Amino acid sequence: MYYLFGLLSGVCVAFMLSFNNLLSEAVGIYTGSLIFHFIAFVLISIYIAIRQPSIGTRNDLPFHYYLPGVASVLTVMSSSISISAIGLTLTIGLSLFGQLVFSNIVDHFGLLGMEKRPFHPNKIVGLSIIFTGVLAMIYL
Amino acid sequence: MIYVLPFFIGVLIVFSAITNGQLAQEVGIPKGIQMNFFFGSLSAFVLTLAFEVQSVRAVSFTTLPIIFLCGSFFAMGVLFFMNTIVPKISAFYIVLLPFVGQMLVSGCIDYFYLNILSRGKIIGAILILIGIMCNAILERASVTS
Repeated sequence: MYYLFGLLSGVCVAFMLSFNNLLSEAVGIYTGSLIFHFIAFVLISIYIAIRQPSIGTRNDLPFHYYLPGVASVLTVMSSSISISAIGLTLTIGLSLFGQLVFSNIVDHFGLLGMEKRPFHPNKIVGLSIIFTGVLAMIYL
Repeated sequence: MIYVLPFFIGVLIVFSAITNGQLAQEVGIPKGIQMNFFFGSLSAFVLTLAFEVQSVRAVSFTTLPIIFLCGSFFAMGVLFFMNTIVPKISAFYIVLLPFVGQMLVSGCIDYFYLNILSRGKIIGAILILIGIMCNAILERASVTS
């Protein structure tokens, strides 16, 4: 059951990107991003109002905790531009490669408050195969 | 140049995932998500005001197909499924299964809707899948040793 949920989360990501792209093409990338975030904000607010989960009360949060919202806007806008230009499959493939490269940099240098985990040369094998896959997507 | 953009999306996703994880520890997962979408709405509102006010006036929102607004519902689906599976299955499947799901749907959309699914994209997706599995297996081996 949990494995199916894992698969379904990926299905939802692809549909989310695709519908956001349609919305952005219809109303513009900034407005599309605004509509997406506002509806999602309303939905999560309804969930919180109904379920009343336990919520932390800390108010003196560091500034960078507010940035993922901005990053999310940039992600939605960049995805819309990218999907229109190169399609969904290549957008997802390249973004996965970006995730792997950046997460290894974060781990290696211990950035963003993460514990330092030095880069293991073994990982070059997997990263090279993934990079070959990305090149195949672009050039074949 | 256009290929740099999705790479940059990957960087943003990792930054958000790490920061959201830290934020969730401070205020809880639902409140963290709510803050995310609130500040997302706010920054998108500022950008719309700055760059798109004129073109927005020309958009007929009443004729907008309701299905175009479904992205947010799928975002809720992603959050629900990810929060459910993360404590239950290994990191290997947490990376692998969503990727397979994304590739299945994006392949279908590229083929049926955008008409741009090529043999290279299928081969590329399979190679990426092998790379992810390879990375996870090697990482697991290095952790256990």
